[in-house]
Amino acid sequence: MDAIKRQQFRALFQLKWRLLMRFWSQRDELYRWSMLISVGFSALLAIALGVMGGMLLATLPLSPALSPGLGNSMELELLQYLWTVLFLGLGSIWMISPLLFIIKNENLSLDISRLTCYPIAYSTLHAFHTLLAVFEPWSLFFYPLMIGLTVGTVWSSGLIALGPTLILLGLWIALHIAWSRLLQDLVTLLFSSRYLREGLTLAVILGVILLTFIPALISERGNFESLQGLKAPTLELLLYQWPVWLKLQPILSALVHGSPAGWFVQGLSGLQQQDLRLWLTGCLQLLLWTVLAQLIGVALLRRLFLEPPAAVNLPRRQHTARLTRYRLQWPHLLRTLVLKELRTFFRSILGKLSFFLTPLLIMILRLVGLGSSPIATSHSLLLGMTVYIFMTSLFLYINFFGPDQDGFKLYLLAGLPERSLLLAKNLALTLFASGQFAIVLVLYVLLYRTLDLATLWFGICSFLSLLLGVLSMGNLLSLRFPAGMDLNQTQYRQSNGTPILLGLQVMTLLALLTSSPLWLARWHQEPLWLLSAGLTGLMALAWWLLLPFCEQLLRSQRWAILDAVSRKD
Amino acid sequence: MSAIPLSIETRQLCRRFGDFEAVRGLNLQVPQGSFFGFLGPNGAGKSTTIKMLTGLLQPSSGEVYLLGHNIWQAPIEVKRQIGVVPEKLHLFERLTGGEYLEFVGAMYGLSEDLIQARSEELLELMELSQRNDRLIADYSHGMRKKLALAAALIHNPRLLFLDEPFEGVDAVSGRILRELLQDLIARQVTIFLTSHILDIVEKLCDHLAIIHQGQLITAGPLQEMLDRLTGETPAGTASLEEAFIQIVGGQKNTRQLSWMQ
Repeated sequence: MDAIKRQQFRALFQLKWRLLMRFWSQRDELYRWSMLISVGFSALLAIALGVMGGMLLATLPLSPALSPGLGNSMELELLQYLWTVLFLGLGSIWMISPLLFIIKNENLSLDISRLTCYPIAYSTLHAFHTLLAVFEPWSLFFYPLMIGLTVGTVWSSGLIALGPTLILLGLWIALHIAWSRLLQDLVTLLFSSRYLREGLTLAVILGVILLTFIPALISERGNFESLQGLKAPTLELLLYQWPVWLKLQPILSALVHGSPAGWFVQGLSGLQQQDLRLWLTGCLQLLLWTVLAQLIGVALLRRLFLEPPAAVNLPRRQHTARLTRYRLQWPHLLRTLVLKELRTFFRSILGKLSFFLTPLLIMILRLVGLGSSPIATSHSLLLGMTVYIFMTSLFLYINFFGPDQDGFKLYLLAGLPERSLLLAKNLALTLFASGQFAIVLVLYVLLYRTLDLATLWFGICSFLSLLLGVLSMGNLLSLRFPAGMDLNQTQYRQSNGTPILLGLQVMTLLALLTSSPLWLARWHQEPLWLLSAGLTGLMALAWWLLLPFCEQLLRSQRWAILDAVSRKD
Repeated sequence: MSAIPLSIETRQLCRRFGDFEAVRGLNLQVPQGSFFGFLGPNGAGKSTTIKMLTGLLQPSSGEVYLLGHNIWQAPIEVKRQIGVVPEKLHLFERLTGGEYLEFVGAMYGLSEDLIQARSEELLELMELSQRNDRLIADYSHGMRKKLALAAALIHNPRLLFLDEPFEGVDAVSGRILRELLQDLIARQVTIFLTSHILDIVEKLCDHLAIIHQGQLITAGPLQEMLDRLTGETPAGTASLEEAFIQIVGGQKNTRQLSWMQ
């Protein structure tokens, strides 16, 4: 590396460091603590998951030499397949996760297209581009997970040497970071139309979701009735009971030998068998594919910047216009604001994506057979579907001023009453979520079970309780953690991790709270309909009591919100 | 072929975006040391041309020579000798002015001492040194423009591209910028400027080209162009604004708003 390149690298990392430090130092105490708590909680969760996974990995040997308890090679093969699928799922989620984070906060990220005017080689630029991914928030969940996995594996099995394990893990991480960058650039380049790009992203997401449900699919499809009387279904029995395994065998075998997850599992097998050659083969394959990603990446980045896809999106017929043209019988101001919000959602890629993601997920889950088990009660099934609604569109609730951007100025200039603004945001999201819930109910009836009145009542109450809880949380998070957000863009956007993580954590608690009438009714013999209605009433009261506080907060924070959402850097 | 050395030369430069042809067969010759105004109505292809000239956008066909080198064959060498102030400034808002210049200097491979010395001088000249501890996010629009120009000058370029440098700049800052640019011209730096403020173009530029719908309509020394138009107008005088409107075929809109009469 020549002196200028070294100097450029140093300057680029210094720039990144300064931007990060400024971002941190300019946040208030509340933000910093929230960030630390949410990141800490997620890291602990990831480590715990990793440790459990690692312990399981060590308990289930991947090599015949260490599997005296396992009868035949088919069982071992099956274990290898399972681990490959698991790592493939994990790796795929890792690779596509940057495409999913959409909240814009470029204080944390560095738009490298700004650097192309300087005399810097594309190889340097790409190396920097890839290295930056190491520190980006979407990767930060995976590191504790991988650390936990290592700790769990080493803890449970003294056979694996720490050094070679770390090398293998390091290569696996490097490969995913490199290919993740490549995937982002490729999606941007191939699909000049945002609609196509988002469609592809959705397809990839759905593909990964399907992939991760394979183990669950197997357990659901297994003929458990025939296993009654046995203490535990053996792997061998599972193989015989579910012959699709045998049909899938060539594909899975190809995955073991031809995918990063497969090479990683091969490397692990090598470690378990203390077979240096096997471990080295796994490592070399991972390394080669990382280098390949870098080489392709440089060419792709050059093409992306120098021959950007035409940013022309043909005007599309607005089917939703008819929907939003319906005259709501509310005061004029409120109606105008609510319609503006709904138009924004339905005419944006991410709005549409989040609206239809839950129904799509439900259909896919039904296709793979999940949720059809009689173990799942009608109530819990419907509640689960309702939770999905909010999980898939959480980003809209936790930052509802984000899409306004410069439009927020208009609210201030027009002297809009704070309450009207908050009510309009809440009402628009209520209508948005209600539309999703209506579709969910239809799908529930079509794909799962008939909907009796009691279940419907519980479903409506659960939906309202969750909605009111999410709105209350959303009001607070949107006012405290505003950030500019473009609902039509997913590329080169950095996650503002704190509100997302806080939102997910609160969402989990809300889901538990909403399910509380179910177990209260079981333990205390109280009527479920009354408990559900009571909880809904309490949530409504909480939302209503919180509203004046949020109104005051909006009044005091309005300039900070304007600054945050309209910031262009 | 002109005998004067050329700083910029394009040959049959084209850029297509799908079916849309943004720039069509552009042949430009910018003499060394000239103050070259590049004009055109909105959407004429000015920004696309500047991007192709500065190595930020690959032409669909044609060639670009800057300071005698083909920018697409030796991009890094050429970029080291040019400075660019784009229309969208793309400054890093969470840096101070000094830190930004330090970063840009390092990108051009300047030594730390040289960066330090030139930054101080540039910030002083642009009247930004008083606010050196302030973040760029807190700068006014004019201050940002001046900082972007300072960044484009830190490595002592021989050719400067300025895309709308006077847009949103107040009279005081505008004068500083004008004087600085005239000083650069005196030192044989070539300046390629686009602006919608035709008065400024008329005062500063000695050469001009007008592009419309991706095609070069006219190019040459400014005075020659004005003289030619003066002969064509009945009043016997022509300003650049009149010439520009005549060339691009603009029309006056005399309609009024119904509630404002």
